[in-house]
Amino acid sequence: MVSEALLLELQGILHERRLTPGQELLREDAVSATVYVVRSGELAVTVNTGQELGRCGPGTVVGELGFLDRGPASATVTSVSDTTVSGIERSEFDAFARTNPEIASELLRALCTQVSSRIRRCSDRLDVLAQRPAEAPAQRSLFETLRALLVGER
Amino acid sequence: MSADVLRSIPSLAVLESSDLEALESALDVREYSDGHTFIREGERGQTIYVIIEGTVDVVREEYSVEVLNELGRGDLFGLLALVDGEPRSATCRARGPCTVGAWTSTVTRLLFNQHAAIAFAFQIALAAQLTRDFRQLDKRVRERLGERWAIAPER
Repeated sequence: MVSEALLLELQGILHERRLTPGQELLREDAVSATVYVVRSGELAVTVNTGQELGRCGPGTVVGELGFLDRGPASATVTSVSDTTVSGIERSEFDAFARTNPEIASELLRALCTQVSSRIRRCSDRLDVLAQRPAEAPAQRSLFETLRALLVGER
Repeated sequence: MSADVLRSIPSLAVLESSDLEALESALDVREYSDGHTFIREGERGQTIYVIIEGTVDVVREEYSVEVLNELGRGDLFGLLALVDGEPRSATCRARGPCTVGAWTSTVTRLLFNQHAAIAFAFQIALAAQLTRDFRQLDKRVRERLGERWAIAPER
């Protein structure tokens, strides 16, 4: 999560985007170097099989992996209702960081915290998958695993 | 040799050479034998390691067969505990002899919480490594789930 106070500090490099229902923000496997914070409305996170893994409301951060390594998105993110997001593009952030290192560090720490918590949860899920290869996993646990992995919910 | 490895980390390569030298001089570089445990799951600590030469396995103690990740030259490990202050999430162990540098918690806490150019480069390096680690785990989970997608419930 990124606080409102931090967003205010980042205002100069925030790009607001308004999405109509069904509009795509991120596409799985497509490269994007922009991180988005949901300001209002709701986003749905889906994977290529079409399954919906979860929803993201105000305050949620999506697209942080591509922002950090300029790599592909791990899931597709689409608006469910009229949604407003604030985007920060990596190269603009890098330029901003040169003159505002304190604020830039704060955002980086927030993103590091988000990725770290995903790693911890993902490692736990992988343990469970590794431990019981012979058991047919309950559908719910499979679903929960991916949800935790991609959306970061418990 | 450790300076070359630090310079091979993209975010650190942009540093002034005096900053890079400072990072290097704070690094305690040693040689370790096969099986050496750098970090044990569940313990507390905020030392961060960088691999100068060799391979380090990231494993979960409870399920010792499961190697979560294999790290090599230029990779950092021990990051999560620094970022979130929680106990170590996995065990990191030498596979074969290796040379590894350590930044003590005093150094890493300072670098993670400051905002000079040197600290910012360090934070970017951390973020990049965390992202790489997560993508690796993501890949492993998807591989394990792969064949099960066929029976995934319809929406």
